[in-house]
Amino acid sequence: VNLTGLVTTAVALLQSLASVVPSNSTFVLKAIAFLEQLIPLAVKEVQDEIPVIKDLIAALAGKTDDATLLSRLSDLDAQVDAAYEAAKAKWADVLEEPST
Amino acid sequence: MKRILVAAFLGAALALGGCQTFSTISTAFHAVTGAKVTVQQVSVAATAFDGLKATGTNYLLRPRCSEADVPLCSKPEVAKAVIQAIDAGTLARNNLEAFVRDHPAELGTSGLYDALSVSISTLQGIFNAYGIKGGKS
Repeated sequence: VNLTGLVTTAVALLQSLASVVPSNSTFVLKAIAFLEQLIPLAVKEVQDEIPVIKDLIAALAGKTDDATLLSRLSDLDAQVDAAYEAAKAKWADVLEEPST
Repeated sequence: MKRILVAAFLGAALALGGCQTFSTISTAFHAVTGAKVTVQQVSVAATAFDGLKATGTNYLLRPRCSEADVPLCSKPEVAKAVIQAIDAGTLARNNLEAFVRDHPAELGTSGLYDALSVSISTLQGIFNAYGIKGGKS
């Protein structure tokens, strides 16, 4: 599989659709989630696409209302926070040591 | 489940990209200027911080260097610095998000945004200094 071509084609396709997709549609959120999942591939295979993907995410985010964006962000925060707190607990002894 | 995947992929993106990705995020993040910031800008900044937080979490999940003879391990002094930076950043992120939630008709203030910006820069500095790229094992 040519991953570079895959990423480039997927981004180009979404760029075309982004201009015509209705605001606040389900497609917008799905497209943003897809682009976020595309980032690791882009970092590895075709880094020139990263700013394009970032701009595309920003453009799609502009088609989403604030409440939806904040709700989505809250869900992401909760997931990241829970994982972090569990990992942090492992270092309780280090945190109790006085700073030198 | 999808949200977990998104968080995981964001962390993986940072892990794979290392310093270059951090730099990319930093460039985008600091491109925001002016006294006020929009919900969209807050969303981008908070998502960037969450990605760094996921990378820091992966570092904390590694075995301690004193306990395991493995290539990727965690040093207590670094873990402590990571935790302090993440805790400060989480507070800044929560304050910024709380403001935009409580003031839906207003734009966020740049002061709260700057606090999150400082935390992101601090975390980036720690990760770059210690070569932390988010590998879990």
